[in-house]
Amino acid sequence: MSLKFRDIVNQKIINDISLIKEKFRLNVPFRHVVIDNFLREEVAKDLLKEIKMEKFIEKESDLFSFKQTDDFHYSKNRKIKDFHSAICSSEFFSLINFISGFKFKGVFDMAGTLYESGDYLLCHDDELEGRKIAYVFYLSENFKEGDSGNFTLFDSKMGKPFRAVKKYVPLFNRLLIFEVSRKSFHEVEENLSDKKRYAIGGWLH
Amino acid sequence: MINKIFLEEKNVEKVSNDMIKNSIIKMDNFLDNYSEMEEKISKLKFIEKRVPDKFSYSEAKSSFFKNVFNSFEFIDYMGRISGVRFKRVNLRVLKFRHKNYTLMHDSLKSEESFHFVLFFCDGWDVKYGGNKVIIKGEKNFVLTPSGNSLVFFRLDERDREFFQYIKHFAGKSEFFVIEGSLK
Repeated sequence: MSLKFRDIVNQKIINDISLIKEKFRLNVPFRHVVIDNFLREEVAKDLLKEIKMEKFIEKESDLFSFKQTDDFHYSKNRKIKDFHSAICSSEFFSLINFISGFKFKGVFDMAGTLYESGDYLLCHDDELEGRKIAYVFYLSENFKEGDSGNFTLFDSKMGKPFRAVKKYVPLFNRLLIFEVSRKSFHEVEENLSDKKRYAIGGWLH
Repeated sequence: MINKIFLEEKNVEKVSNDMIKNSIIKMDNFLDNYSEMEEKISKLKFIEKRVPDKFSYSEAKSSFFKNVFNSFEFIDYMGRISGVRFKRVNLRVLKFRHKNYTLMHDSLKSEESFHFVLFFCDGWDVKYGGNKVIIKGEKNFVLTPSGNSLVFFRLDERDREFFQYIKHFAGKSEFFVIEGSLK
């Protein structure tokens, strides 16, 4: 029997959903919200164990240096596939629809990322046709602000990124979602530590 | 200014042939007065500049280097090895260290253009990042900063270039680069 979203999510999130929606609407420099303890703890721990067994491929360009898995849709790991099914579901889409107000076409990307010491993703806006909401779910353990690997948001001036105005530490079991737009400038600061920064992320179209 | 070896007729011909064939050439020990130039560049006043989705580095203004690289000797030599007649050099003097980078630009160039970079550094390690990457068609040229190396290259319409982000492995190490476009 496949896993349902309701089986893995922390019930407190559902109870606080109106507050989360309000935070998403009001947060600056562009609409976003951070949800801590998103999954039931044992589910998140189990997921971390499984993702560590996935194959990560090095990705490098002028903009980034990190490792990434294939889309989880193609994973051969049953637990990863179950997690993918639970998130790529009408229940999860309804939740994000309630928070953001966006309706989705059911097109969904999900892959694992690994930032080792020295890995980074420089400032960009994520905008690509069809992307409405970006999400990142952090699974890295024991990250502190000084380790960096922080998710940084930029405000903009005349349509260009200007200053870094907000930072989020990639804490274990933290979900971050944001609206993709021409001004959703963000970056992943270089991992300055020897810790492995695991995350799962993608977009809802 | 230019190492006399490069000025020998047979070497001009060899460099010119390589340039025509590959559109890029690296010349080590390019300056004969490198130490003097290095001292001058290290004493310039650099100002940090950052446009997050484009670049992050420090830049200095220098009429001294502007004059040196607009000298007849330099422009004439670059003309001889490329077969193109140049009139002037647009110059930038940059400093790179941890967290600095440049990104590729999307804008297409309307025609071919000639450029060079000259590095001033000591013991730069490839694992630091900061390599100059030139993408010509399917080929990637990755140039690790190396003191007194001049890289001369032609960019066509679809070619791209950037400096890789410099990682924390670099510590306090830094390098200077003189970047020029020939017109």
